[in-house]
Amino acid sequence: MLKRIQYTKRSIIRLFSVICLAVTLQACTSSDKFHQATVIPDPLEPVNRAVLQFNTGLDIILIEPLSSAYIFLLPEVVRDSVQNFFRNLRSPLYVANNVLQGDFGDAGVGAARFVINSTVGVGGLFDVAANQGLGFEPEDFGQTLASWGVGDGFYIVWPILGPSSLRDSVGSFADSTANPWRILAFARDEEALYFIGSGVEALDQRSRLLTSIRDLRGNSLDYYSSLKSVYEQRRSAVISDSVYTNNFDIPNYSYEYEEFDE
Amino acid sequence: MYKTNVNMRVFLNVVTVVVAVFMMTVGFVYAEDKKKQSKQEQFVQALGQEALETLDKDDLSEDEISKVIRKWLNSYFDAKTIARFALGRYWRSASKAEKAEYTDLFENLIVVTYSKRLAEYSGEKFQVVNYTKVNDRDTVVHSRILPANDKGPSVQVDWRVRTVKGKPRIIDVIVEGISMSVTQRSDFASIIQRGGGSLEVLLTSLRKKTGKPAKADKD
Repeated sequence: MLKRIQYTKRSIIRLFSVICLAVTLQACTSSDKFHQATVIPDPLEPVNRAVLQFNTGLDIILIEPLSSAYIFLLPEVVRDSVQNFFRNLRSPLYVANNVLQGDFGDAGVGAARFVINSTVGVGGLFDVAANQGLGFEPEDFGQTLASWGVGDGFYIVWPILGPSSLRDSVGSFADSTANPWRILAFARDEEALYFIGSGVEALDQRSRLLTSIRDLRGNSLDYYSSLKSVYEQRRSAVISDSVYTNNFDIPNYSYEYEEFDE
Repeated sequence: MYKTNVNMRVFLNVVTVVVAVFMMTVGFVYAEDKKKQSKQEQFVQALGQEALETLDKDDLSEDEISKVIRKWLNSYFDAKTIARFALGRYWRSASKAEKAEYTDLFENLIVVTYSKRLAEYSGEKFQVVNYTKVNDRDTVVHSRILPANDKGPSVQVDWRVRTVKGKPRIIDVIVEGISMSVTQRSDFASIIQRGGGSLEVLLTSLRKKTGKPAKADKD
């Protein structure tokens, strides 16, 4: 009996050592999780440029002023509840995508968020789960496809909807088909409700990007190219679930500048 | 049977000891590394501190803001590396005069761009979180910009720091995964390509962008 206890104790110590080693090795290699944002091929560039020009025109005359009005008219608390409400409606999608990606931990977090925010958070109007350490982590079907090894395809700028890739377009289509809000509205023959809801959701999202888009438009020399780069980098970051993905090399250029330093 | 067991036990004990020693070594090296690298964090913290203190004085004129940004650019950033990276392969074919003008215009562009960005400042707070080593040369210091009222999401800003001539210098700023350098490089390359591969087109664009900073961007 005593021997068995000792033996178990030793096993536990060994197991502990192995786990520690694994964790240490994991920590050593974690920097390899960074990867470089890929450049998405753009065979449709002339068409895409024309569509972006159309989108920008429409944005300046209609959508941007509407977004500004939305911010001006509604207090922050209300706007936050709008965002929380639509995020909560989509959270079954996030859970499903996490499961499809094999990320069961985050799927559990998403499911817990949905339950907590739908009940304690009054139908999703308040993100109480976030205060409990269950943060918002969206996962779309484009990310799921990427995690299965599906490549970007090519770059597409959709009218009104904006930048995407072939893969992410398929993803968005799948997500909107499976959107519980759409299914609910269509089942009750209230299609209009779905489109109004989507409009409000989009307006809320656009209003949160007011300064970023104004900044990018104002500060880039070629807005089309900068926006494409931002899209590539941002997608790459959300797909790898790490914000710092830019593991590209910046060479040591100092010798090239010697001619100026005399 | 019994013998195998003993051998096995001895073997596992040796493994345990080796693992323990290995872990201690790694832990020691890691601690050493952390002590050394936290200089980079302090460096970014110092810039953040200085920036917030300056921005809190709300009676700064546009001219004063430009001046202070140029000062920070010189004392905290390596503008030459940033400029060089943003031009990519087009640097090599440029003449000496073109390189000199480009570098100057690039610095002006940074000053104009950040003057506008900082004009939007409304009491946000700045917090250095930790750092990651990218490679032998570079360390990325992770920071967060928190909204003034402590509500709402924070923005993750990462600073790529390199030791240039013995001093820490920032060579890239990454906002929520978007590198300013990578974006600029793609922006510049596109301008040059669409201009038939001529650097002059980029220089013209930059001259225009930095010439009249006050009005050109109120779109």
